Amino acid sequence: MPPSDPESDACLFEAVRAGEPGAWERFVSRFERLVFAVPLRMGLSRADAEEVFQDTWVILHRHLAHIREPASISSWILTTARRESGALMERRRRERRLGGAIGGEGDPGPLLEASDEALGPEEVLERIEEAEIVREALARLDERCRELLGRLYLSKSPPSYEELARDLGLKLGSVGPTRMRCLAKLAERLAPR
Amino acid sequence: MDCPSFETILAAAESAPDAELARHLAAGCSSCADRLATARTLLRVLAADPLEDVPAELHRRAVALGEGRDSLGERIREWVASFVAPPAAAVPAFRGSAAPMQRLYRAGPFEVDLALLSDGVLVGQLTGEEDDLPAGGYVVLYGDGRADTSSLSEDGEFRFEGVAPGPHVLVVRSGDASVVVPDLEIDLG
Repeated sequence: MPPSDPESDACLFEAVRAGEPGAWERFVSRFERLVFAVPLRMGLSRADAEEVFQDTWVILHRHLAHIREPASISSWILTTARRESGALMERRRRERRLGGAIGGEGDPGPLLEASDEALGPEEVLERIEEAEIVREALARLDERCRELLGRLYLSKSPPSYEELARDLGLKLGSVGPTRMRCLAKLAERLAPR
Repeated sequence: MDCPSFETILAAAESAPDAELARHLAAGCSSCADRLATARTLLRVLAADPLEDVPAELHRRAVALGEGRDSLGERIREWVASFVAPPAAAVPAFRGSAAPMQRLYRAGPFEVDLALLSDGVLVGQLTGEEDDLPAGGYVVLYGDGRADTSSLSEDGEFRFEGVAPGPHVLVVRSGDASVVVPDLEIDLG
């Protein structure tokens, strides 16, 4: 994405730094799902993920003036969320060891929730970054493709082709070909130049 | 064979390349190989669980961090609060007890009233002499290696739970006013 694109991460981040009204809220809305996904997919509990989420935004807010590469802001955010998640995991391990030493008997339960296919932190981050890149590219498709692909792939309860045909005013037989055309448009945007 | 459309490549990624495309790839078309790799990655990403939605309260707190900030270059009106105590009195540690211990800080036109409850709950209120004291804002409690945020109500009230013992810095932010309570020593007794 060219840096002059007013909707690019870098331009939005510069708008935040310039104090443009509403820019911070747009910035939070753009990145909050990434921040929340990191601790959850690294296996932290939901309560701990909420703690990491808040800490990451506080840290970002405090460092706004010091971030050197606005174009890499999403990586900066992800790295911070991963570091905070790692620190909290370590703290939980220490608490668990201490609890075991003091409490003795009893199963304190799992330290972590089931993580994303038992991936390492780097792979978790890669997967989340990939998801974000796809989401960004999808947001730039035309409205029909955005709606169709978004509902098929980004919602928790994907609709049937019948529901999609009805809601989008398509013939049932054209949902499949439209899906493929939209996927092709999306892939074009993601393909290396 | 000329390079096929992305739709053909995607269809191949969803199943397997047909014979013609397979021959084309085997002949060494790096462009189509790259496009096939992109298509496979795209389908894998789309097949994965979507990113989780953020609870509304968490979103609200993150947004609150940026409220009232016109620009980084803006001169924030910042006051460092002083403990209101008789001259020469030693500033006591903030000790939790059954009866909440209260402390009052003064910072320019503002006052910060704090009370630590015995179960590690810190409650407070920002009040001001100015008529234009902004409604709402946020509060950050910096402790040992962590920072917790809380919203400032329209009455200037805020609350933190599970406050750990040790040194803290409290920053109350409302509009362009920032009140800093440094050296807030929490002793849970």
